[in-house]
Amino acid sequence: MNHQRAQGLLSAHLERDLGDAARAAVEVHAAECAVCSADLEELRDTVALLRRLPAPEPPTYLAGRVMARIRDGEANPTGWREWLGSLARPAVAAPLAALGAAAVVLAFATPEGDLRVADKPSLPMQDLALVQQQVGPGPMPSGRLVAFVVPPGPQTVGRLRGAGHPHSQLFAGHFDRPAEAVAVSWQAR
Amino acid sequence: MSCDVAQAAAATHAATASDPAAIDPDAELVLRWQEGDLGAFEALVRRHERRVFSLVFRMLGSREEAEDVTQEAFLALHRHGHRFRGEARFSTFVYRVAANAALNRRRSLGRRRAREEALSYRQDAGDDLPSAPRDPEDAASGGEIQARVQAALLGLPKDLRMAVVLYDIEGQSYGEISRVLRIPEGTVKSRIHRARVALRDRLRALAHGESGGVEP
Repeated sequence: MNHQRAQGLLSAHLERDLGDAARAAVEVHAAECAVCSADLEELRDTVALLRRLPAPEPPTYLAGRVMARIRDGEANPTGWREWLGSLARPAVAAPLAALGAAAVVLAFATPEGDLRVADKPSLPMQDLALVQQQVGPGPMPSGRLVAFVVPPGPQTVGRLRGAGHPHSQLFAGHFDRPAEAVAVSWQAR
Repeated sequence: MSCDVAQAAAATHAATASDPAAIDPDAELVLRWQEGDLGAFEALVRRHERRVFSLVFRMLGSREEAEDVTQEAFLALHRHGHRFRGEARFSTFVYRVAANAALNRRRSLGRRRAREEALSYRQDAGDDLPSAPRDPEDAASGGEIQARVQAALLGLPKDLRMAVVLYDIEGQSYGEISRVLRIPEGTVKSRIHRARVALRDRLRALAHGESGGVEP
């Protein structure tokens, strides 16, 4: 067995993953080749180091936090929150208005309220990107808002920018194509 | 992540159709969870959180990142649990979701934090690292050596890192890794060997004070 072939089989030799003939050939070569012999020992040491790494302990609260987030609706299969959340992108530096698209501030409605679309009462909530010029601290107040209706799906949105809020999340963004403006009302509960 | 999970479900099914789910120790909990029992899912989380956290931590090198990604992986698992139909072991599916979550973590953030933590680890250890010890007992006994091994891991390309973490640290079989990563067993073996050789070389370099670097 030549040197290059032996080098490629050193790990398999360590794992006793070679047939008898190949294993014997590696051993014969290593007995005569100082490089392969040293490499085999160093690989053995490397594997030993890896296998003796201690398992990191997860934080004790991890499972509880996962379950709390699930109960809070973060893992809902097809909710509007997931859809809008999935569109979040890293910061956008360019002025949104200069992009020639609808630069808006989107407010994620909190679950504690009802969204009504004035002229399209049957419109599913997940098809809505609710627009609000400003959302201050505290619950989003009741009132009429303007919304841009866009089909769901990442292809409809260029970029979004998100920021946390106790009761809603604000997203500034723009759409790749014109969105339809409709009047909606938000009734806080 | 949702797309990855869906693909994971489909691929797990295809790759392990011959693996009888009847021997899956998670089968009963999975069934209860899919019927709406949140308590069953919590039991599954607690059963698998150590392995998921360990895999993600070894891939990212940061406890903070690992905690975030582990949570996201379990949320994705719950969100798409209906796609898992029990044709494969549930643990295989969990590993795949976790692996995808770790691989998809934003690289810039992970790399910066990993560097910071590796630096902090080395500074805590006095950054007075001896040359590579020949005795594994001695090698594994010190935190500074563990930090060096972790730093070397982070220097590997992600595909090699994942293979060697799953095999040498998590103790998964070639076949299991093949199913998790959706690559042939021969590729698994090749990646493990290349990873070990690269690790050996990086450990040598780190022992001589050279930067190990962090691969994306």
